[in-house]
Amino acid sequence: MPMPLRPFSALDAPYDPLAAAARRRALPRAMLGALAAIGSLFVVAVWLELTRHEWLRVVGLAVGHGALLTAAVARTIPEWPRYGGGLVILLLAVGVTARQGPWGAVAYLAMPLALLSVLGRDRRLAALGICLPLTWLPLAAGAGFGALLGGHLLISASLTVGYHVGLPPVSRYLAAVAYDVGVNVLSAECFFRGVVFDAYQRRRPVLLALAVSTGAALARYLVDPALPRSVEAMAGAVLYLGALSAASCGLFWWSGSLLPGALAGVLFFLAYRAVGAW
Amino acid sequence: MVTRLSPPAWTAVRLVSLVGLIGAITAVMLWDGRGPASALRHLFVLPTAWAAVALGRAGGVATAALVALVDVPLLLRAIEAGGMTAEAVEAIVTLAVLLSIGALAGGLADRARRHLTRYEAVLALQQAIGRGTPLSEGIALANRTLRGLLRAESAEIVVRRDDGSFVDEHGVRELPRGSLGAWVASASGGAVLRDASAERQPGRSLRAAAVRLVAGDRVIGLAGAARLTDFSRDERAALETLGVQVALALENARLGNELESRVAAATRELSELDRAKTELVSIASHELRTPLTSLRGYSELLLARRYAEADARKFVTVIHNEAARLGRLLDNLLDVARIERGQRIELRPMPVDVRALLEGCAELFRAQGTGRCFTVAVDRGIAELLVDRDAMERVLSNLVSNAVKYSPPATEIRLSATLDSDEHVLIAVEDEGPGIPDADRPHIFERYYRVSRPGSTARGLGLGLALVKALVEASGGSVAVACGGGKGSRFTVSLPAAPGVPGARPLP
Repeated sequence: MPMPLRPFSALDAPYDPLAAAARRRALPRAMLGALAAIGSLFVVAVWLELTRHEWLRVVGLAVGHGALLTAAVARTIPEWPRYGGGLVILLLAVGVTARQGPWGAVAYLAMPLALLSVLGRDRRLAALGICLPLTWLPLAAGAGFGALLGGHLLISASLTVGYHVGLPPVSRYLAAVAYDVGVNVLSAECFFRGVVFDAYQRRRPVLLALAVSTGAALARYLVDPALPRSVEAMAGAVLYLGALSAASCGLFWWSGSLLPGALAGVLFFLAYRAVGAW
Repeated sequence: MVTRLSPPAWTAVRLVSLVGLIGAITAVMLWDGRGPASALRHLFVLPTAWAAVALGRAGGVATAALVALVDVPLLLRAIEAGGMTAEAVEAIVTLAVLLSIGALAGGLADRARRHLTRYEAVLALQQAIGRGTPLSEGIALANRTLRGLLRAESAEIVVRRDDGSFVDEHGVRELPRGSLGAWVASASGGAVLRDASAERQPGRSLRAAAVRLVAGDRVIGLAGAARLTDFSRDERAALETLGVQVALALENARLGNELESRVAAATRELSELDRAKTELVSIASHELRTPLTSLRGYSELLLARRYAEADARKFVTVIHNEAARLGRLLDNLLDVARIERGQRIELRPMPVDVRALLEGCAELFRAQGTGRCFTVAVDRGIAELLVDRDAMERVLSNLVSNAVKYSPPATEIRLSATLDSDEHVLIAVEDEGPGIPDADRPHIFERYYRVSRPGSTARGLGLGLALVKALVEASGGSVAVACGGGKGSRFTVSLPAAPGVPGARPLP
């Protein structure tokens, strides 16, 4: 059951049919525009990464995730350029630091702190869902789902001939986990749930919002150059990341917080980073 | 001995059986050696359909997802080994079909369950309302039922009254301008609003639905509900249907209550009339008996032996006065009865000398030895009234009789006539009694109304002033009363002065 809300009278709700219709019509255009712009930035970022040029890959990461995080900030704070530029520059700096060695990746953890710093300066960012849920139950559900999905991934990978399950060198493993916690999960939750799902569910049916958000998140992962290009890896990505994204939407809708979904994502990626190709 | 399982225990048994069935099919498939391409995979339809029927859409989808979780490692391995073969595609399609079966069959089961619950709830509600539940409680019950059926955060029904206003469980319900309710009330259909609450919460928003409740071609109310999930078309139709049934039941209850209260009011009125009639008979008997006692007593005295002339005259005067009083009483009763029956009293207006009229009345009461001092004052220039003489004599005798009745002995009762306007003469009767309490004054001209004063022994039927008013108004005049704060009463009668053409004037 969703978290309870204050008593509310449907008949007393303010209603302007013309404004409501205009909002519904405006949503697909605005959202498609935003997705196209961010998608283009991602394609550029992917292309930059594919060049295999170290510094261009850093720029690609900063541009791609910076676009997602800036869009999330812009959703709740109209004066977003004040923070957006800073986030991209910080991402660049973090990327550069991470390239200095495995332990440099710890710098990725600066991103959540940077977002918390923005939240400290402007409470409007909390409307994105950066807050604790009212009870621990959604967090437990998120942890449970992430662990289940991660465990299932490990079993699947152990059954698959071309993959093995085992911890890589600790420094490399921690670097990957730091990237997931600090950038990967953070930007995905903030943008695909905090922006896309939230905007759609306010104007369209919840299931449609879930489908759009999940589809967009899947597209983002499928164009990620870090994803192996084999058929089984792509099929697995569709299954696991689709389930993860849909569950994160559900957890966000249930709790009003991005944290349960983020927790599920982090736990899943903890397992994912333990899977390696032979 | 058969042990009946509790619902949670029964659900647990079903879940364990479900998981066991899925595990058994998976084990057989593994034994078969063909992995996800095994024809045995179609057996997964059984637990999926079972879960869908038993647990609804959520159960069906969850079971299909569980099957997918079990099947996917095998499927991925097959894809890795042979690529995206036709068998692999078939296996994926099977999983998609299972998911569809879980969702569709579960949806149908949910719908059937919702319909059953809905009809049971409406039946229970109608029975509850039919037991004579007050309107407010009926609406509250309907709101609770709707909230439960729609699994809504809030649900409410407002019933439209004949004057176009709405009532809810708390009474009159105002719909704010620019609100969903106000819009639906004036539009031709319902409306759904997403993001309805002003209280913004990340990731979720309240959906509000409102529909008009129409019976025949009449809007009998509105129904609204709010919750976090979307309202399907089926649920909006259900809201409307339920709302109409509930509103009709409430309307019937309201009409029943109204009828009941009207009957109760009419019964109360009849009881009051009966009580008043009994009281009237009792008072009338007493009022009639008093002069009769005097008449009988004094006449027996006169018959028993001879008295001195002065004493005999005194006795005869008493007999005369009591007979006159009895006559007035009977006249009043008869006139009031005639008025109540709607019959007209014929008046014959004629020029009547004002001074003679007032003097005659004063003399009549002086002769009765009331112990009061009667004075008469008539303005110069006032000569005649155009009234029925008998009627005016009764008007004045009633007013003076009241003045005598309510003023202490040895006080003055003044009768006067002044020019009220060019066409009217104002006749006043003033006494030095305690006056009339403010609360009683608006009612003293009503029939059978008597001013109750503690310790007062004044008698009467409460007819005199009602008759005065009727006679004066029938004569084209008006009557009023003024009191000087415990220093007596002053009754004024305004009557037409200029003599016109004499003729019969019917009393309405």
